[in-house]
Formats: sequence, structure tokens, C-alpha cells
Amino acid sequence: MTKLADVLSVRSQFARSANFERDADSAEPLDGYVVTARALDVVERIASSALGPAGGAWSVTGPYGSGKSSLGLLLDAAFGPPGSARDSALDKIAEASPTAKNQLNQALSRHRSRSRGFYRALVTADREPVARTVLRGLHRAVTRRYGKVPGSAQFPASSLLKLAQRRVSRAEDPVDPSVSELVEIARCMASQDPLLIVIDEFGKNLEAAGDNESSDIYLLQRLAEAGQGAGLPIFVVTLQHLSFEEYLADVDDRRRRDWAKVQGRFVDVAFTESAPQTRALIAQAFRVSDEQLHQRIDKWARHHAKSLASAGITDLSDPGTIASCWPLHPVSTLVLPELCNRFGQHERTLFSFLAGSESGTVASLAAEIEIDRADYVPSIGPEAVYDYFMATGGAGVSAVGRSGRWTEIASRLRDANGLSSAEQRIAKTVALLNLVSASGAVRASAPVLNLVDSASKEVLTGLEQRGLVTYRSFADEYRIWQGSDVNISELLEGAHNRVADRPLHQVLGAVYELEPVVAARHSAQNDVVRLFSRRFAHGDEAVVPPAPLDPIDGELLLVANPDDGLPTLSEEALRSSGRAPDDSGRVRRLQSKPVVAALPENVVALDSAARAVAALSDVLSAPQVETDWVARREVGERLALARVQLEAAVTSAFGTSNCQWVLLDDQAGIVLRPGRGSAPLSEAADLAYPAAPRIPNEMLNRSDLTSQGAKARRILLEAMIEHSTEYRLGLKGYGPEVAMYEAALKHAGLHRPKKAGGDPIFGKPRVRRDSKPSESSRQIEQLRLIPAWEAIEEAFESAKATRLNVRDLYTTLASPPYGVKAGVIPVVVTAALLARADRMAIYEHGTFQLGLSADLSERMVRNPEHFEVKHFANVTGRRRDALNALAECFGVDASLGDRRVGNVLAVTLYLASRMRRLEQWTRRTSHLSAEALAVRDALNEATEPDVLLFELLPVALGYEPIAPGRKRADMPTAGSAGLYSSFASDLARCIDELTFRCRNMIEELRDDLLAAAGERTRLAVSGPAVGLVDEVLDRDMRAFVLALSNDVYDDDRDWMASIATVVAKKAPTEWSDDDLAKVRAEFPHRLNAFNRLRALHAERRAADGAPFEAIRIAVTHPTGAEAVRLAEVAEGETGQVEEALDELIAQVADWLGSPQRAHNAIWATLGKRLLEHERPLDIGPVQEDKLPRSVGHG
Amino acid sequence: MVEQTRHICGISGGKDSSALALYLRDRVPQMEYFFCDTGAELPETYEFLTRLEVILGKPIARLNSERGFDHWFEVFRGALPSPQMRWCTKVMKIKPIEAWIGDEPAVSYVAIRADEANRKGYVSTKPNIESRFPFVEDGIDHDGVMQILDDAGIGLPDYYEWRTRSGCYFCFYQRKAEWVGLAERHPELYERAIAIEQKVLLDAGVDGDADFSERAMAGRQYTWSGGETLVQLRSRSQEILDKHEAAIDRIRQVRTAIPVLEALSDALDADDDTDPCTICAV
Repeated sequence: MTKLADVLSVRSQFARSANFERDADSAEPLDGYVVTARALDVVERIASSALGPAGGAWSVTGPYGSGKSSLGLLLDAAFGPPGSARDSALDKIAEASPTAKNQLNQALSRHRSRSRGFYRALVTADREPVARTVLRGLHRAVTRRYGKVPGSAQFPASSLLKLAQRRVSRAEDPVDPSVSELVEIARCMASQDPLLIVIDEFGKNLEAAGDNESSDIYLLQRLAEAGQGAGLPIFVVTLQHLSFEEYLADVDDRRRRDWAKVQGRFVDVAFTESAPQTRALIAQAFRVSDEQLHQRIDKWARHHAKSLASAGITDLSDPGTIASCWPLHPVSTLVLPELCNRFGQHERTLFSFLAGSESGTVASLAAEIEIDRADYVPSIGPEAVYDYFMATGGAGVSAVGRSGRWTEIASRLRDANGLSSAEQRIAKTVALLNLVSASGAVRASAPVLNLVDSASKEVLTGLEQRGLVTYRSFADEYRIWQGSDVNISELLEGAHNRVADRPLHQVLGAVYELEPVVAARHSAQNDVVRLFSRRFAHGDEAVVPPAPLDPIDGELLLVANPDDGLPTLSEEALRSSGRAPDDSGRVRRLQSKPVVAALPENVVALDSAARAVAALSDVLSAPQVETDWVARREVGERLALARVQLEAAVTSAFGTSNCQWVLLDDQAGIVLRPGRGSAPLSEAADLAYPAAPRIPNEMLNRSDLTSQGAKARRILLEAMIEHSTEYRLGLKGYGPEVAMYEAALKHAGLHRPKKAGGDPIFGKPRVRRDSKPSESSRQIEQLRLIPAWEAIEEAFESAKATRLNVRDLYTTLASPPYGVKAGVIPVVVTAALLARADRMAIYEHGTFQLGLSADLSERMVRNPEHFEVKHFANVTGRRRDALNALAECFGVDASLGDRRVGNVLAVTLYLASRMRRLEQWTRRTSHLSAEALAVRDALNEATEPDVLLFELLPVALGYEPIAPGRKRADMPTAGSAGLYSSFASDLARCIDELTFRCRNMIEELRDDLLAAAGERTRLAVSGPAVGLVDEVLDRDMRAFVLALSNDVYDDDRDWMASIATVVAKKAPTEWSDDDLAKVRAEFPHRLNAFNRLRALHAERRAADGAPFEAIRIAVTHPTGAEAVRLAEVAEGETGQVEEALDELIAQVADWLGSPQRAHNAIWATLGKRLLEHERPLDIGPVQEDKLPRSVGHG
Repeated sequence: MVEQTRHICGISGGKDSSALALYLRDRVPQMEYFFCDTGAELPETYEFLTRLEVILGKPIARLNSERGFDHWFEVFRGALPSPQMRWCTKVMKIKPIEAWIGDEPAVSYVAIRADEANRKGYVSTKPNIESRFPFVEDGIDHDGVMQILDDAGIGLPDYYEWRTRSGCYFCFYQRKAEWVGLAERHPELYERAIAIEQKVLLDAGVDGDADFSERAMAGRQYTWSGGETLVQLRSRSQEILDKHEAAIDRIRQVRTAIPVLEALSDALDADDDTDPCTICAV
């Protein structure tokens, strides 16, 4: 009895798991290797490139087990030195393609390397920097050739290589070689013989690069570049499982971009075999020695080929292929490639099945199968494939064990007891087909199953009755049915009924998500992105257009039931819309954002697809389905399919040419031309935004700024405010803020010199409209900022009677016809506010602000609704006269347009800034003239500049309020001018009084102090105080003496303020009037204490015999009160004092009769005065020794 | 041009940095003093700063005065700072200081006392800044600091009667007893803090309040003080005060004759142990 095994030989190997380091130098590195089509592809690419002078770079990406490492070994051998390895490699290549072998031989000759071969740096990467891997490879390439690293005579880069190798391998603090070192070594090699670098497992390098920031990615770029163009013959091949990006999925964008650049230097080669290629590999594995058998097989194959063709499986309808894959059944051949890819390790698994010696493989089954029957060709059917994968699944050879899907099907089949062998066969075939099929012809359809068993129909009926297999009519496919108690069709019917009554647009809205779309042509032409949101609508809807400050520029309504007519704009939207026809008369001007309706011709397919998805979604969320995983998956799969169909239906129904496109307005709407893609939306945007600026700055001209963009705009706004008259606003360099400046301000003409050669200012763009417009005029026209600027000016002009909320201004600008993007609006509005700073008052939360400052601008950008502006320029008649008088008096020089006139804002700002500098004390004190008090109150109360200037201040100063309007007829011009200038000078006097009041108060205090001390100069007080500093123990007294003695202050007032601060424990500027009164009362006491201290101190020093000029006077009252004073007369004053005293004595002597009596009387009077002024006060005891430094407190 | 080295001394409004400023008044005549104004300091702090300015005879540069807390509150649209998102320190302290210092070489004098040499202050990491610690170098301790303040006749900021640190009136690092102190001493500021807790800035202008309660993070109730709103905290202020008094008594029993300020500080530390913001406090 002949067994299949007797006539069949199976080639045992396609490629084993190869390892560079282990196999490269083994005797037979390529034993049993088959050169596959894709391997040949890589060899051919390198060989043909090696025919030229330079090298190249390839990145080969393919799954595990697809033979990448073996490819590396093949390249290594083919480009190696002469010998059996090279011969064998070239022979294997020749088997697949004789041309490729020729090319290889020519390449070796071209580089004169036939006798030595290329340098071959074959290396397997670890999770390490690329540089380390490459160094290892280069080192190996050199040692493979020379046995060690030779001297520099033989190999010029010798010392560099040795050094790098030593540094990287030392135990402590190893250092990776630098990019330039490695490139230098590689160049040195390539100048001798071509260098082939093959890095296996390159993905590990990439993972390491993802782990840490490292610059060595450029190494590969440099190596690749060195080998390109007219460079050296350096060939770099990397082998990895995934593409570069996938390894770097977790890495930040910048580094991914860097890597993408590097990968750009490499030619990508996808190392995957197509199913036909895999089948060719199967065919190569089998050899049938029996000639007679061949004929039977051919006939068998022709029969099956016909059936396969009729089942629509064109992939495998060639009898030759079917025959050459025998003994596999065609259905086995059909499923194996996909099965190995999805559930195994590709060819490694395939060849295990074909040639492995364990049970269940083709080789072992062949020993059992008899082939003697002439009328019957046995074959290995899908059930054997199923069994093999089942058996190996648990052993970890394949991914079967990890596949949930496989486990589910397998457990279902295992649990189905008592199946006949025919039933098992069909069930397993269905299972396999279920596992590999996604869609298309390869599925468990009746014709395919008939190939396995011509009686499959009856078997399937049996299996269906057992509940093991179910037929899904919508997919024409049998499925292994896991079994469920849920009656899906019944649930589905109910769901369909529920969905049937709902309007289609609602059904669609619930099941189909619509992303916004860009009006592409309009956006490209206008340097701006116009985005339309989309939603499903119904015909008789009243539509509210998107809000002006919404980032969306318009809305597209996909009308699901066009029979109900055209949606209309809501009443509210229409009220705000203008009606001005444009030049063509065709378009009515829109003031709300455009709303476009798409009316499809046919919604039948859409309707059924949408309702199917809705019904299935409904069923999926039914409680009984949610808890039954079998039913859940069944419904889930059907839903996925239904969604695909819905997608197609939506695309078709709302395809540009399948709809009527209408821009909604207050009448019948404007019909738009369909065109292609988003053409109707572009036309709508053209109509809605004819006056939109074109700002060629992507970072600024958008609705939502990036954080980078927001930062740049903040810098720009600040520069606009703080350096408005500087060239380029004082911005330096080429940062994004400079680009924004150029685009939005400079080129648009908003920031330009007032006159030629002058400093730049903000103002309306000026265009020369003569016959030859200048380049800059052309640019200004092109950027089209003038309409928006005029809109702002118009809004400003209209804000004379009532304030204009800045948000409303934003709203106007964001709406048609301007459609200025939210990023640009603050820049343009700021420019306009600066241009009109002399007439636009700014209010925040209703409070008048001192002009536009950087911080205020920052807040305005965030919360425009908190701000208002009001126009104050034009005052006429009496008020203008009064204003001019004020401006002249204060020296306020504000220009309005080209005229130099005082204006409300300039004067108010001047007053407000003077007020702002007032001290707390001055703001509270009543030590002011009545007028100054009244002026201060008026300035505090006022919220409106005009009310302040023309009502509150005149009244405060006793004048009539200045009413608007013409000059009073009864008042001659000269008279009114005199009145207003006296008002102005009164006001100026009060402001000055307020400004200097605190200063004067401190001077008054100083005078008090000096008077109380009986001295004329600060020095006379502070000098003696210095000597006392270390003598005082009492805390307050000590601080007082220290303050008196302090000479760090240049100004008497500063000195006085510090003394006053020490006495009051509060700075004079922060005082209340009470504080002032207290300090005044306190001074004499402090000074008396100070004087007695001086006296005692002087006494002590006198006793010590120290030089001493003052004399001590002690006066005792009969009550026992005593006053002591130290008195001295300065040298220069002695004469005058003596003279005056002599005169006094003479005078008193005249009255009293004798100089002696006069002396006595004067003594007594002075003594009494001394007693009256002196009150006893605690002064700390005078310390004999130096004072200790610590002072108690608590 | 030879670059001039700047000498700078930051003032927090607390006693140590004020004492350092006074200590260096005559020693480093070219000294520049600065104070990072959050615009939300206690009135006592502002009053004390003017006092100090007069005694120093030099202005104290007020950094950031244009962009205080209210400004950022509006710019961030009511997103409040918290220990997790401490934007206050970043935008109102560190950034203004670093901008003011610039890139010229500068010597920064830091008020760490000799008896707390381990404490961390704001020591700039900018390379152009050299930090010096005069109190540590000259061995000046707590008593030395008090002596300096007494000699200058300036005394302590008034808030030391109820609070141990300078900083914003609503600082989320203040302890419960300090919140009660705020409610007693500055009921109007307490009301403002309550409003801010609810993302409302009271009296932003003559139009009234700036209300961000409907903006970002609407509905998320943030509380300045852990576990309760300020309204709830105020309603149990007696309970908090009693606990606080008990803590002071306990500390007094353990160590006799310690100054009030120290007892207050220790008692507050016993109250809870969150670390304060070192940048604001030194």
C-alpha cells in the first residue's frame, strides 16, 4: 500500500529563526533558506544601487518570522569574501532571479571587491543608542576582515576606532561615540571597500531614542547622506517590525518630526508577502516524485479551479497553483496565508505546519494517507489545518492561544458532542473561514463549502438544526453560532417599528456624527480658514445662525426631508439682517453668519440605512442584549456593517452634485452653484464675507489661538501700547510677534509714519488712488483692512451719547460682511483705540480708566464685555472755550486730528493722574481750603469726564455749571474767556494745594519741632542726639533719639518724616488728622525728655572733666517742681545776644531802678517760663557702662 | 561699559525682611528694595511698607502693581489659585521678580535668620544672581531682629496681632484661626474672600461685581480653606478660636515666658501643618 509520504518530499526549511551574531560566520548560514520574492526585491535594490559609485539607505519593515534576519544573512554572505557562503548565497539568489546574481557579481567587480568582499557590519541592536550599535557593527566588520583592529598603516581610522571602543566598553562612566567619530570611521572603511551596515532589531534603537532625548538620530541621517548622491559606497539597511513612527508613538511631536526627517533619507521597503506569494512558497515546498500521480492531480486541480472560479474566488482559480500546492486541499491553500499571518508567526508557522515532524503536520499526515485509489485524489483539508492550529495553540507556537475569537469558536466546537465526521469537517471549515474572512469572496458561503464536501448542503442543515451553525442571509455566510436565547429578529422588528415614526433628521442626528467642513476654495483665496458646522435639519425649520463670536463661520444644514421645503432664518436672525443689495443686485447683504441648506434629490437609501443603524443601536442597548455576549456581538457586527452602508448613503445623498444648495436669506434664498467638494460653501462665504481682511498670518488669523500664538499676540499688543511710535514697535528679531506685526499692522497700513520720514503712528490705512498706485498701496488694498477699520470708526462715532460695549464692537467685526477672526480683532481694535486715544474714553466695569495700558489690554482681550468706550472729542461753544482755558492753564497739549485743541479726555486724564499721586493723608485730611476740599470731592465722585469738567468742578469752585451749546448771547466773548480762565486758574490752585499739602504739613511739623527744641537748624538737634544714642534704655525714647540723630537723609523733610513715623508708629502719608494732632501734642513732651537727657548727659561729662561749653540751669519752684536746662550760645551769636541783653537790662533797669533788680527780674521770669513749659517725664536712667544689646519686649 | 552689580533686597512685609532692610540701610547704600505687590495684601502690610520706606529714606519698588490678583482673576476668568495650581506665586511673585532683576549681575540679600539657617527662602536660580544671608553671616537671631526693629522705632506690622505671615488676605495657606482673625479685623475683606471663593470679584468697578461663576469650571466648588466654605468657617469661628486658645495655653504651659508672637506662631502650626508658600513669606 502506497502512502503519500512515499511519493511526497517536503522541503524542511524556509528560514529558521536566524541570529546575526551566531549564524553569520557559521559554515552554512543559509542552509535550507528559500529566497522569497520580497527578499529578492531587497537584494535587487541594493545590488542595482551598488552598480553605481555611491551607496544608499533602506529601512525594511516586516512582521516577526517573515525572514528579515535571514535576509540580513543572505546579504552578508552575498557581499562577503569569496568562499562557500558567498557561492551558496549567489546560487540561491540565482534560483530566484539569474539577473540579480549577475548584478551582484558586477557590483563586486565595480568596487574591486571580489577578492575581499564588502566591509560587512552586521549587528543586532539592543535597547541602546544607535551610536553604540553602529560602533559595535563597525568594530565587528573590521575584526571580521583583519582578525583584530589593525594598525593605522592598514586602517587609518584605527586609533579612532580603538579609542571609541575603549570608551564605550569601560566599566565606569562609559561614553558613546560621537556622530562625527562614527562617520569618520565609516568613511575610512568605505574609502577602502564598500561598507554594508545591516542593523537587525532596529526597533530597539528607536525605543531607546523614544526613552531619552538624544541627538544620535542624526547619525543615521549622516551615514545615509554619506552614502547618497556622489558620496561613498555606504549601504545602510535597517530591519524592524514596525514603521519608525509606530515605535515613537509616545514621543513628543518635535522628536517625531526629527525622526520623520531621518526616515526620509531611507527608502522604505515593506517586507510582507502577499497571499499569492505565500502560496508560491507552499508550492516550492512540495515535490511529488510519482509522474502518474501528477496527471491525476492535474485533473483534480482543474475540477476545483472551475468551482473556485464560479464561487468568485479569482485568487485561486489557476489549476497550476492548485496542483502545485497539493496535497493541500484548495480551501486549505486558500486560508493558510491569512491564517498564518493573523494567528501565527507568518512563514515560520506555515513551514512548521508543512514540514514539522510533530503530529498533525502535513509531513506526519502524509505517512497515514493512502494514495492507491485511482479514482480518488486524497488531500489535506481545512479540518486538518484547524486541528493543527488547535493543537499548537496551547503550546505558544502561534497566537491562537491568545485570540479571543479563536477561543470562542474552538470552545463552541469542542462542546458540540456527537458530530459525524462529515459534520465535523464542515463545521471546522466554517470555523476557519469565519476566522480569516473579513469580507469579500473568501467566506463560508455555500459554494465554497461545497468544495470541501459536495453534500455540504444537507450537512449544514443538520448543523443549523443543532444550533451550531447559523446562516446570515444579509451577508450570505454561514457562521459558527455560539447560541443565545435572545431573539434578535424579534427585537429588531420592534426597534424598526419604533424608529419608523421618528423624523429622518432626528434619526440621522442621533446615529451619525457630522464634523465641521472647511470652505476650501474661499479659505485658500482669502488666507483664512472658514469653517462650517454641519447638522441634519428638516425642511420647515426656523434656523438660528451661529453666534457672531462663535468660532464657526457658518452652518451647513443637511436637509433630510426636502419635501417639506426650505428651512428659513428665524425671526430674530432676520431682524438683525440688513437688506442692501450689492452691485449685481443678486445678493442681499447678510448680517448674520451664513446658513446653507443642502437639499438632496433622493433620500430613500439614506432613510433605510439610517433607520437600520438606529434600530440596531436600539437593540444593542436593550437589557437582554447587553447581558448576552453572543447576541451582543452578533448585533455589534451587524451594526458595524450597517454603519458602513449609512456612511455610503450619506456621502451619496449629500454629494455636491446630488443636492440643491441654497444660502438662506430673508427671501427665497440664494441658489449656489454646486461645483466640486465644498464649492457651494466657498460661494456662500464669498457672499457673506466680502469685506473680510486678508491677513497672511496663520498664527494670528484664526478663531482660537494656540498658546504660542496667544503669547506672541500679547507681546504684540503690549508693544503697540508701550512703543506705539517706534519703528516696528520696538520689536526685535524674527519671532512670531514680528510676523504678526508685519502682516496685520505694517503691510495693512495701520502703523505708518504720519508724514514721510516721521515716527510711525496708528491710523487708518492710506491708499493713493491715482493712476500709478505704489507697491505699498497695492498691498494695503490687498490686505483689505480698510472696511473693518471704517466699521470701528463708525462705531466709535456713534458712541457719543451712550457708551459702546467692546463686546458689541467685537460682534460687529466678527459678523458679515467683515468676518474678522477672533485672533485679529483685539489687534485691530487696539490699533483703533490708540489712533483715537485723544477722544475715546475707556471704562472697565463702568469705571473710567486712565487710558489703554498693557494690563488693561490683557483683560480686554479676555473679557471684552467688561469694557466700554465713549467718544469725547467734539465739544462746541461754551464748553470748548472752557476746555481750551483748562488745557492752556495746565499745559495740556493734545491734538485732535491735525488741530491742536484741548479736549475733555486730555484734561481729565491730566487731573486724574495728578489725583492718583495724592497721599492717603491728603485724600482724607480736612486741613485744606474749602475750595480744595470741594475740588477733591468732585474728583472723587465723578464717573464721567464731561460731568466732572463742566458740572462738578465749576460748582465746587463757585461757578455756574457750563452747559453745552452756543455761547450765551448776553456774554461778550472777552467776558466768557475771562470767566473760564479764572475758573481754570482757581482749579489749578486747588490742585497744587492738594499736591503740596502733605509736603507742607511735614515742613510745618519740622518747624514745630525746631521751635520746641529752641533750635533753628536740624543739625543743632541731630548733632547732640548722636552723642546720646548709646545712653538710652527706654525703647520709645531710644528710637526717637536714633531718629533725631539719623543723618542718612539729604532732605529735612525726609528726616522729619522719619521722626514723625517713629512717634506716630505710622508714616505721615498714611496718617489721619487724628494722628497729626496726636503727634503735634506729643512733640513737646518728647523734646523735653530729650533736653533733660542732654542735660544729664552733659553734666556727667562735665564731671568727668570733658570739655564743655554749655551751662546747666536748674530752676526750683516753691512746690518742689524743678526744671533743668542746658543752655549754650553759639560762638558767632554771643555778641548779638550780649548786645540785646545789655539793652534789655538797661531798659528794665530804667523801670525797676537798678541793673541788679533788672537781672533778678529777668532771671525769675525766664525761670518761671522754663517751669511752665517743662512737665516731668520719665526718661530712662542713664547707664554708667555701655548698654547691653538686648532689649526686653512683650 | 562696565556692568554695575546691583544690590537688591526683597521685602515681604514681614518682620525679618524689614529688619534686614534696616540693617543694611547704612551698610549697603546703593541697595534697591523691592516688594512684590499682589494687590491683595492686608492694609496693615501696605501701611507698614510706607512706614518702612520713610525710615529707610528710600522708595521700595512695588513690582507688579499694575497686574495684581484682581487683574489675573479677570484674565484667568475666575480660575482660582490653589496649592495644586499655584498660579499666584508664578505670575505675581516669581515672574515679576525675575523680570525686574533682569540679566545684569546682582547680589540678592535674603532674610534668613541665624536661628533658622535651614529654612528655605526664595533663592533665585538665575545664574546672574548671587544670594547672601547677612543675618546668618553676622549671627543675628530672632532677638537681634526685634532689636533692629525697635531701634528704628518702626515696630511690627499690626497684623502680627492675629496673623503670622504677610501675603494675600485670602491666602489659602492661612490657618483656620487666621481666617477667623480676618473675619474679625477686616470683615469687608472676608466678604471679598467669600465672593472670590465663588468666583466673583466684588465691586470691580462702578457697575458692580465681575462675576465668573458661570464660566469655566462652573459648578465646581472650590474652598479656600480645606473642607469647608468660608461661610461655614465663619459660622464656627468660636469653636476655632477656643481650640486656638487651648493650643496657646498648652504651649505656654510647656515653655514659660515666651513672647506672644512665638506662642501665636506655634499654636497656628499646631492648628494644621500645611507648608506655607515660602516665596510669599520670606
